[in-house]
Amino acid sequence: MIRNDTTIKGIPIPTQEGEFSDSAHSKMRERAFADDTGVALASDASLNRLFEIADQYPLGSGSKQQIEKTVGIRFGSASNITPPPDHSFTWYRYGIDPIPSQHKYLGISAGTPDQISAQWQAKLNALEAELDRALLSSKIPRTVFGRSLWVKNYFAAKVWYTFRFQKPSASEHS
Amino acid sequence: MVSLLHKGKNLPRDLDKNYRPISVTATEFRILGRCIHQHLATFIRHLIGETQLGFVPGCRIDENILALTELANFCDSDDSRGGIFVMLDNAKAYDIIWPSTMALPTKIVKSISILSTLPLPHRDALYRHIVITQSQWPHWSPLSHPK
Repeated sequence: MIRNDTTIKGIPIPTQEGEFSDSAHSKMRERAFADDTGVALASDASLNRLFEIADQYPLGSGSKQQIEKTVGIRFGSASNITPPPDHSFTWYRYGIDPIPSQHKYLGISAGTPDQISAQWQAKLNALEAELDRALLSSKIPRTVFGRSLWVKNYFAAKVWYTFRFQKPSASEHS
Repeated sequence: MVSLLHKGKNLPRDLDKNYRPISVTATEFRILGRCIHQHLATFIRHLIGETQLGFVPGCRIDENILALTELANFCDSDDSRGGIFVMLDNAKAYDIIWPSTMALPTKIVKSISILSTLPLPHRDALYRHIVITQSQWPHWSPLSHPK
């Protein structure tokens, strides 16, 4: 329904040559991964129509839109504009407001640099603590190959997904 | 058998919506389920929109996260640019328990269990039907699709 609606205006994005056009592919609008749906809007003007659709969609699909759990992130110049009062969900300004962990997008936080840094520090501390515990309890293999495999698997399970999108700062890395 | 897995964190344990249903299925179920999945995967892209990446072969969750990151950086790089990104919360879609909807997975499990007991020619007929359904999109070649 969102895809077919021409009144919802997405955010124009440039081509590789840096040019803008009116074609559908030159705008970013709805993106979905299973039930995680995000909609990019050029301005607040499209919000009313978006939430009309959000109200109608459950009638046919059987799903349920929880408006009170909806989150909006404001980028660039939109950060300086006060959100309309008739949409009472939670707003954040990208790069300015800390975003709580329950409001991640597909498991990745879009919070402030300080917040992302703190998250990395917590992850690395947990990794180090687990490594210390394993060494003390002799849980990890004795061979170099076995140990490297253990560390790799532990790293892959706990850190790799986040690491693909957000890198720790140089100080955390060291 | 369906078991309930608590969603964790600090969610109350006395509410059924805070549990995910999981089940251990028979080998025959998994083989047949995978067969049907592989047939559907060759033409599923034509049934759902191109901006839906979930469970579509060749699509990765990374694309959506990188798109959001790039969009945020693009908008923040110039004072004249801006926009908003709304994350809709879609409940009752996959991972919570509703007694009224539990009947449907049970029916599917039963159907596939019955299929696994069918003689081979009948199972072949079923697969042929799936392939014929797939041929309704002649411009789509399974060979061109990433495995």
